[in-house]
Amino acid sequence: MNTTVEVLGFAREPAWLPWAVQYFFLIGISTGAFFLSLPGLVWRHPDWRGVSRRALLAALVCGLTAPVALLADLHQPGRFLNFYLHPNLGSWMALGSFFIPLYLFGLIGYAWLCLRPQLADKAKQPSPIAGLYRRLAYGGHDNPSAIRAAAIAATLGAVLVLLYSGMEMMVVQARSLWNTAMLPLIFAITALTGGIGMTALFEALTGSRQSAALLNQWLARGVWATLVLLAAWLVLGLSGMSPATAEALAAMGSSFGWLATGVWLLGSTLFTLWMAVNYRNSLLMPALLALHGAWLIRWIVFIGGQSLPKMGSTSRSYYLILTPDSLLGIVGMAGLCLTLYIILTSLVPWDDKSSACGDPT
Amino acid sequence: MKISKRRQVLALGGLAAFAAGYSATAGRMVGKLLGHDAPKHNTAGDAPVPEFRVDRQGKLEINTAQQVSYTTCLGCTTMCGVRVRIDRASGKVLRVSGNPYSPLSTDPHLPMKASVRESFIAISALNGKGLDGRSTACGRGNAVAQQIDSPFRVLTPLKRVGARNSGRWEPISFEQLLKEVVNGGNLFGEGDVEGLMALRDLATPIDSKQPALGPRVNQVAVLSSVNDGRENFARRFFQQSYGTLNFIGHGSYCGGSYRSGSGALFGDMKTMPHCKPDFANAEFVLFVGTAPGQAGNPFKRQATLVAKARTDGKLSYVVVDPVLSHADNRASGDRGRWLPIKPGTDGALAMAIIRWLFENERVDSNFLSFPNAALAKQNGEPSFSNASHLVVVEPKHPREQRMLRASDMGVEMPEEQRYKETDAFVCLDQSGKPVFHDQASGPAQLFVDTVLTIGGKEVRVKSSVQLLRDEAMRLDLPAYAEACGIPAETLAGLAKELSSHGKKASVIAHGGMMSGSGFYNAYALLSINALLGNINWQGGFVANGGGFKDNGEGPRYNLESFAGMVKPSGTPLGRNVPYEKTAEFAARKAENKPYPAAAPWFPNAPGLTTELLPGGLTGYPYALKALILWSSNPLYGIAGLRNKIAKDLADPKKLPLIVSVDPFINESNAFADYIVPDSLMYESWGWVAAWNGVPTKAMSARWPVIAPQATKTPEGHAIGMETFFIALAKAMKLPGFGADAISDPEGTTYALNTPEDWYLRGGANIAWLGKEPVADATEEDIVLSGVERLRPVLEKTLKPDEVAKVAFLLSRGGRYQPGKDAYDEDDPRWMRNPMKSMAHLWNENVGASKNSLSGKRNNGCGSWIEPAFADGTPMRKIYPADKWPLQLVSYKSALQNPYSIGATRLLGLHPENPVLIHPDDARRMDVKMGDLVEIATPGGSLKARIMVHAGILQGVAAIEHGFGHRELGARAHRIGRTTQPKDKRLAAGVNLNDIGLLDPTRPDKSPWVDAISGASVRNGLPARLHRA
Repeated sequence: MNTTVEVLGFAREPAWLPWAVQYFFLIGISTGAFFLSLPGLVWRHPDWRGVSRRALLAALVCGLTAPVALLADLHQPGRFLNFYLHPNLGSWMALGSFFIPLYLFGLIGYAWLCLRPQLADKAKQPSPIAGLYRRLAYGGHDNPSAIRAAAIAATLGAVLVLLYSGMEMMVVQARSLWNTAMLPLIFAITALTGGIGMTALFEALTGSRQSAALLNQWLARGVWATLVLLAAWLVLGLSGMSPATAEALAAMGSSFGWLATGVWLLGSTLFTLWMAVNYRNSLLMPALLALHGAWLIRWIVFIGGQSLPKMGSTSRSYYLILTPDSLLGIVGMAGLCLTLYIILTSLVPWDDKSSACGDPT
Repeated sequence: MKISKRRQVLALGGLAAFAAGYSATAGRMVGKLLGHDAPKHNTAGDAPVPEFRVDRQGKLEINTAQQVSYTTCLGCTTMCGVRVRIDRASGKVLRVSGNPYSPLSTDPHLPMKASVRESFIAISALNGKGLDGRSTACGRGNAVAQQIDSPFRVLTPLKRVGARNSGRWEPISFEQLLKEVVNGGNLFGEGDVEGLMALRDLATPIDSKQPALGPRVNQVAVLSSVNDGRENFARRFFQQSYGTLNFIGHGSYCGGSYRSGSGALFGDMKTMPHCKPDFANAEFVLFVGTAPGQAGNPFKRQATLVAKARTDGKLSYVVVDPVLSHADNRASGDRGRWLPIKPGTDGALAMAIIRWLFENERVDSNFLSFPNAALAKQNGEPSFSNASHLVVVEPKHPREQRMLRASDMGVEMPEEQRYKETDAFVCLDQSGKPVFHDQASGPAQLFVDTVLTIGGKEVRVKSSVQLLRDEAMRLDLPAYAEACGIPAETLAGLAKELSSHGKKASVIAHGGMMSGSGFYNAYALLSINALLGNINWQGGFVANGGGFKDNGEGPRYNLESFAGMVKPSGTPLGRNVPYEKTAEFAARKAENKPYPAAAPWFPNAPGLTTELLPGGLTGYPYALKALILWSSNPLYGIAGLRNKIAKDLADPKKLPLIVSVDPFINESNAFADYIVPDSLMYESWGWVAAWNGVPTKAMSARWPVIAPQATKTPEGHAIGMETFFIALAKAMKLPGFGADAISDPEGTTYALNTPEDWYLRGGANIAWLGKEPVADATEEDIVLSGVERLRPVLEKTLKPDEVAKVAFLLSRGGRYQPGKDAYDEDDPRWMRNPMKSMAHLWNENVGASKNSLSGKRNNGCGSWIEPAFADGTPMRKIYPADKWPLQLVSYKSALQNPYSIGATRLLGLHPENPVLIHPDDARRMDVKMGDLVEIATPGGSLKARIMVHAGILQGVAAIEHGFGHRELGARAHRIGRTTQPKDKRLAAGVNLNDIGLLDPTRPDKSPWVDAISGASVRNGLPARLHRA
């Protein structure tokens, strides 16, 4: 075998910072959670009623924070304007700038339509901001067909967001770990499991456990799908059917760090599956494991993928440090999620005691 | 709405965390709104504002705040044509990129008839032309312009204060400089020093017992570096006017062994002609000890051509070198391969290939069989060889190892013509009858080993090709494989590949030949080209197109000769003449002990800087009285020289006067008594041809596109080499300078008082050479190219009809033959500018010479000999591998050269030169990447950082050349009352030459050089390494 030697090597800083991991994590969870909100809120499936409300909350919390992280990843946030001033329809990333608003406005409209009855209820209660509730409720009608229409728009947006965010990475030929058709699929399926995880977490925070079995059932299916996709990726690489994946595997081959990462990914995924199957009624652990899985995949793909040599032979390890573009940013976004969660749960009741939309009682 | 305290705290905490985490992003947003990071320019950003704009219609809009001029780079010795962007207000160089007229920077290059305006448009994005065959400068060329404004430049004449090399100087006036250098006197309070006036003694012999040494003026030696387009001016002064024989460049410590090997092949050991592969059309090239696209002149053009040819053409290549270079990379795919070889064993590789070619009858017998040029041409061969010419091999015969000549066969001719050009060689025709080579009417017999009766005596003769074949057959492939570390199958495979592409395969070498067997390695390698018959063929081994002579007896001015011109004579101090012709030899022979000489002699070498200083300082064959260092830095560049002479050089009694002309203080002129500033890069004049690798004629112009920074002479000209030498000539009343020094064909004379008097007239000669003179520059050309600034001096110096033609050359940065003229008009498979020399498979001058230490006869053909010291003792016999397990080699990167260290932008990319060693060696020696180690050779030791690197052969440690400086800014000198700034970065890394070897077999214990070429040995130095 030929050995590649870098005669003149550069240690390249990763261009996609942890901000990108956060954005893909949050927007993925948001879309995943949004899909979970549909059975209860659109189709009014009784088993899903409560859990879909928590899912909508998760979709909102993560959906509203995701673009904040994305803006930070532009290094100069003002640059986002250029996506609209100079549209480039040949670039998945640029297309994303149209898909994100489609999804987010759809989601917000859908959420508002779902929440109108509650807002009307709130307006009836004595409160300094009763007037605000009244205005927000805008009559407070429950309008299933409007909800369906908004859900269709948001679903289209969510699918396109999942598509573009997977494709914009898949098309980068210079990044061997990204340049695989498996990537959008893995991202999509872990978005779903992440959404389940966040919904389960919110479910756990309400103290209710009745939908644990339902969530764990879907989580197990999602994890199975993830395992199948990972196996397919590995087969494509080992068989040489995907040269990029083979190259990525070769680059990772002799590294202990990569071996440990692989073992960690497989181990934690199997553990998640085991928990979801065997502790069907527990919520918190499977929730955290699912979130961990969605984060881990994205961290490996982004930060690990950029550490693999792109044009030379030098691997560059990334270290989390306490700066805004690194660890502090991650803590900050978690803080924003927390704040949003508290604000949203303070403004509107999300637990089952309050009347769900369309609930005749 | 009620929010619990706990939730309030949590929400506020979350908000605080977000504020902290997003602070930098928010700062960027606010900064943007406040205009903090607003770019200076809408499209150029913080880079300088563009020099011009070309719109979609091709309309050019000039930025009048800048000047764009075409001149020549001096970031290495390639002399690429470049485009220099200058800020008119500050006079500073902003950027350097390629000159689209220059084939050294552009492929294909623009025809000269394109106007300057058209050339600007051609480099723009209009129709993609600027990117197709983009005109470029290399990274170094771009970065070294920084040196123009270096704080370490010498801008005024300096005189040393205190001892030599003490780092203290006082600035002196030009008048004082002239007075002291010319007249001498008690200049330093150390006793009387003879000035240049007294030393210019053309009559008194140095030694009346050895008149062959020549007159006393030879005790003044001049060392230069490379012809930067100004060497002819310096030679006019020091050789033709002042009269010394000893004026030498840097060849013997650059690529001297390669050039000598090539000189042997083409039969001229003094000018050493050479060829390059026709990269654009070659199908297979074997690069040995040279790295296309990384180092080896012209590396940038080679990189372009090789990359194109391996992508779009048929080229594949193998690079044989102990060190991996850029040439084999992921972009080259299977088209480029690296083949590691043991240092200094390239001859084994070459002879193995030659043996295989003979054994498998894959040599080009048709080409080899034609004994003269005319016959070869008639038979479809654009070159010829001496393969069939006969060599006397009769032992003890007075002509042993020499070519058999017509005069040997009894042809009558005047004695002075005997064994000269008109004395024909002899070969055997197909019937076995001797025939003179120039009278042969058909192919001659190739393999001849017979006995002829000549003058009644039986004399054994062999053909040249027979001798080479016998030599190749001395060892078999496994033995060659053992020697060079390349498997026999691979050697055979290379030979097969070389002989599978007709005329479109070739072998080339360069700096990697600087080993203890360098000459024979190079001669053997290059001989393969003759066996393949590829010389002057498209895709084969082709000659340089050359330039247009500026300083000849030209069509406009005679810059070659003048009244009172001196023809220097005597024995060169580098001893590149036969020892057997010296008085010393005669005296020793009389004592019956002719060998060894007191130090080796090199009859088949060019001028040798390697030998000049050790000999001149010890007085062998005679002592130096004054040394002029013009842009020369032998102490840095020659392996082991510093160890040998630094002490003597510091002693004014050993060498009374050292004057340097240099823009910087380097490792050598730090020992000078006086340093005279010189122009640098874009401040200079000059006319310079491409060194090689350009099949069309190319003459690059150097002209002061920026004003020189040095202080002025009393006449108001910037001090520099030219103004200093002119002033010296006038002060000593020497011929060839001042009034009436230059004449034209009509007999009118002109003064030579300024650099412009010389270079502009040289330009006029260039403009009128060739089939017809060049066109006139238009007004617009002159304005757009910045030549406008010099128009007054052009008009003052030149005849009216010359102004626009010389301006035409300056505006285009030189004169370049169109690219389509590379190939012959009649047969486009042949080169238009051919190598005219015969290929010598046997070189009688080498073959008839003897080693001046051992008295043993040298071999006259390519050969494999182990790297050896001067008397022929193998290096490993004295320094065996068990004590010195490593071999050091030197290599170059594309970034750093020996004098570019001050370009700190390069240091940003590549701050030092860690020593490369193989992972297996690192394991064995228990050292790791980044460890500080001590590397010792028999010549000394140094501490260096190591890089464990799979791109190197086991047992070899490689040191990149260009680091390890003691000067050029690494040491802060005190000049008058000011001290230069300190910049530790410029002292980074190590210099292999600091631990070069002194040759233990030499009676004078001087640095190790190749026994034939006299070239410095820097590859294959025995060494050991341990953790410091």
